[in-house]
Amino acid sequence: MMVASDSKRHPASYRDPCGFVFRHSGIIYRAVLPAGLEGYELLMQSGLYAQLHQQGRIIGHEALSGNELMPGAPQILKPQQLPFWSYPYEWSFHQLQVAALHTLGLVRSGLEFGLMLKDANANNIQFLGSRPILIDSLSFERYEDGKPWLAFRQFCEHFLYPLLLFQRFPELSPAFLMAYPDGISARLTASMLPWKCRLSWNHQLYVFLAAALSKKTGTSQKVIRISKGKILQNVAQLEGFIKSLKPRSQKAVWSNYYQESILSAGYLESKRQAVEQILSELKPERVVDAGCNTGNFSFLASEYAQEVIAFDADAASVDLLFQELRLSKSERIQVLVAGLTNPTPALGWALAERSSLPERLQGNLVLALALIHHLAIGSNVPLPYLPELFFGMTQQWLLIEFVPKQDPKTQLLLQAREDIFPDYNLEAFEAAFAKHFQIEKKMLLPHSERVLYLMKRY
Amino acid sequence: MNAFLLYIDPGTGSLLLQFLIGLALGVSMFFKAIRYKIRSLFGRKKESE
Repeated sequence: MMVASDSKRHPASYRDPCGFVFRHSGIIYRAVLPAGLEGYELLMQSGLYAQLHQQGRIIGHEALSGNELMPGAPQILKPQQLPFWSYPYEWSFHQLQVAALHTLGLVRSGLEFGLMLKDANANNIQFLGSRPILIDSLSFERYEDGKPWLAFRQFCEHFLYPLLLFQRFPELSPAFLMAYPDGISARLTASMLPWKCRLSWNHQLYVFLAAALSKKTGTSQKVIRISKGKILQNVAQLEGFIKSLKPRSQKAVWSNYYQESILSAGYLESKRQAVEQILSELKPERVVDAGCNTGNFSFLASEYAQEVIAFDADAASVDLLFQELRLSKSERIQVLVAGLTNPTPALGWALAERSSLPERLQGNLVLALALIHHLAIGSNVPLPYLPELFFGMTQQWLLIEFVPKQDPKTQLLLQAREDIFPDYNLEAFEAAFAKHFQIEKKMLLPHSERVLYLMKRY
Repeated sequence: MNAFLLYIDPGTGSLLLQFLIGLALGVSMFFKAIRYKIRSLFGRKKESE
């Protein structure tokens, strides 16, 4: 196919013969190919798109007339541009659960309009705040009477089985899913789940029976007919099953940080005021809250910034933040589970399908509050390494809190180990950052020995 | 069924699984309905799930 010189097909978009995503002058478009035209037209003409879009369940798009951007494609769509991308292996438990229920809801709504969701890939769901949306407008096809739901297995592998494992093993990091881009198989799930899961009817049907049947090969599956009623019954059963799942342990490593903190309320309040003051002066367009914990400062930042990207390596903290986000309904905060010492890498074909965390993390202001002692002492990262990390994340500002060695929290980190950090002090910190940043403000936070710095990138 | 519609592998045995799940759920619904009828005969209004 001829491709307009500066239109670049997205490397993640090669699986579907119905269309693909490409980038032109920094904007994402979707090309509909002849094979996808029928599904697309049905989506638009049946009223399904109008309903899903009005309810905020599918990404909005503009149908462009003409195809100069991608010659050969019968239809070009310009979807609503998303502020940020996260991947299923960066989602906390409730994010994956919400995305799963969203996908089932799409099957249900599709069938009402005579369409079938042919694709149940978790990567087709993105979040705006806590609201899940389907981003692939070519996910529907005409429903044929008696035809089974072909994406059923994919749904289980991308949503149900990971949820069952995360529920059973709360210590399991979502990054576990990076090794399984096509989902977790029934057999792997069955081999990991403890014996007592066999006592559950749902586990028997969806995991153990599925695992046993997956060994069958070469049966003539094409003759199997499943009625629409049976598909809906299956969807309802899956919904009930998935809604019943709760992570076994809700207790986050850091989620008690604010409640049980040995830090005084006076310190927290003065820090909050100082941060709010700076936010109100800078009014940054986009804030990156690194090590966001349960998001106290993410919510504060969202009052002044258009967009906040909040991440933390602790999945349970992010999960609490996500649940709070669902209550607040704010769409300005995008949350994900990720860390700085081991950031999400680029993945997939030619490492170009899924982008790395640093490629996606860009803000006008980076918040690094009560974080640096974790990196420098908790994870042994030498102080001189850190400025470059933050330099890459911010286009302008960095608001960073220095937590000195005598701080009770730092002492907690040093409790069980030898102090091998003679160079961890304020002077060394300032000297290290001076190479990349200009210190604009320096404030001692009352009721503590911590110092808050506002720095500007060179 | 067009070949290209199968570009996501529906999975060995997964269609059979769907069929069996359909049967199982059908049977369980049937018994639930009977249980509900019997309970309502004895004046119990609520079905304990």
